[in-house]
Amino acid sequence: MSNESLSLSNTASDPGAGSSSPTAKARSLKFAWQPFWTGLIGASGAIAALQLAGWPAALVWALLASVAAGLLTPTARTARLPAGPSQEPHLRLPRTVVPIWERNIEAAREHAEGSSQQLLESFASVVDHLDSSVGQHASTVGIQPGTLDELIARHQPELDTLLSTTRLAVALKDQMFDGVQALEGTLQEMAVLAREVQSISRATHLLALNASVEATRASGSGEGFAVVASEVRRLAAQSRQAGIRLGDHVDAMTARIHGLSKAVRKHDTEDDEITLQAEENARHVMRALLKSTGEFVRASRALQESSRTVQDDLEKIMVSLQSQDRLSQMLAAVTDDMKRLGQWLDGAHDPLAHIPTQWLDRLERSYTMEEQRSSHHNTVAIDKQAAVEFF
Amino acid sequence: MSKTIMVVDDSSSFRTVVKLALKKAGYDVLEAVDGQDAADKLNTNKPNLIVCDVNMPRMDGLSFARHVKTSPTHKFTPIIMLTTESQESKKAEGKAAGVRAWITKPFQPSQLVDAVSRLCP
Repeated sequence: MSNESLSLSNTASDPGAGSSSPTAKARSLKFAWQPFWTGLIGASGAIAALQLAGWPAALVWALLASVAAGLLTPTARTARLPAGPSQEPHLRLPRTVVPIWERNIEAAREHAEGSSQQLLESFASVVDHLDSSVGQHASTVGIQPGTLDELIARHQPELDTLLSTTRLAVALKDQMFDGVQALEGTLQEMAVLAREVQSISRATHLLALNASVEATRASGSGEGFAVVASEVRRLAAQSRQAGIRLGDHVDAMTARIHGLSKAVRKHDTEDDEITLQAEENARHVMRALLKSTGEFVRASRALQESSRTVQDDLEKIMVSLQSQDRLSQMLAAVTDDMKRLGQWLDGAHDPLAHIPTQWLDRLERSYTMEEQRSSHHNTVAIDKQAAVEFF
Repeated sequence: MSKTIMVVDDSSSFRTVVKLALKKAGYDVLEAVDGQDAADKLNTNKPNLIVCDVNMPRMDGLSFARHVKTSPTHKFTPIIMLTTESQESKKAEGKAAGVRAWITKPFQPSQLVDAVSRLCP
């Protein structure tokens, strides 16, 4: 029988003994006394065998008892192992390495979280710019350019304003032409009058000449008459000169007015062409505008369509970006457990340290995701889609 | 005037994702880093709805939900739990705490926006 199994006091003073729970002590005691009882029974049996069957039987019985005691010794030794393994040489490696692993995993988690945060901020900025760009063009999608005639009809007031200046110029020119024509008529009448004046002055001159001849025939009594006739002849000559000058001026004015009237008449036939040309130019401008507007609307619609596609992609990206949060939670569960292990390796009390299944149960209770539970039990995780449940 | 949603989550990157989804939908967002921070901020703010994670330090989401329901000012404020927890027992706890909806992560932004607009029309 092993003496050390009886030395309970040694168990208490063993520096490596760390278990203080009643269950562990009871277990320790139970295992410590087991070899003693086995030895006692063996000795009793050997004595009885000696008395009954002689020394060979006793020897065999004693050998059997020793083997039984020896088999129990490892259990006793195991029961008296200290709960804190800090002094165990073979646990020095994990005690040193586990905290390093834990810090490295935590550093990796923080680094990933920082990078993910930067990525998210840049992503948010891109989304903001996209929203504002698409929003500015959204109003143009509602434009319906239609046909050219519809567009012209829709914008007729604006076109009228554009063409009104041309039309006003044409109208003023028509008024001027009418005035010129009236003036031409008046000048023609004046030319007739001028010729009449000349005619009258010629006749008056002849009459005065005849009066002078008669005055000469009347000799002495006709002197006064001769003077009058002479004055009349002089006045006739003056009026004839005035008539000639008037006629010259009238002719000159008539020639100018006629030239002007000719020119106005010539451009009068072009007025309609000018108006038509102005309207045609306006239609041409509207046609080009319609084409450009149509292209712009098509481009805006294409942009909006692309925007819808981009929005769908953005939504998928935002789902993927959530993986960082899930990664953090998964790693945090592992590092927390590594911390507990490290603390136990350093000598801290942890009742679950000797019962791996319960340690793992505690770890499993910390999980929040199905993926963690699946990897814990080495099963395949069911990929569940996100769901909204209303209460 | 746009409505204000309080987002409570200890993960800054996750708060950013939620804020992005809600701001795109036209909501203003007020952030809190855990249940205790959210409870403090409720003293000076009155959000129209709260989106909250479950597992957080200091005060977890379910405790925070129970706290909100005891507040005369905020007890009618709808709460949506947005969490990785999917177990029925947790959902039952949430329902008992007065939570109105439960969304499991990862979430579709459109699902969150739909739920918010449904509870906060």
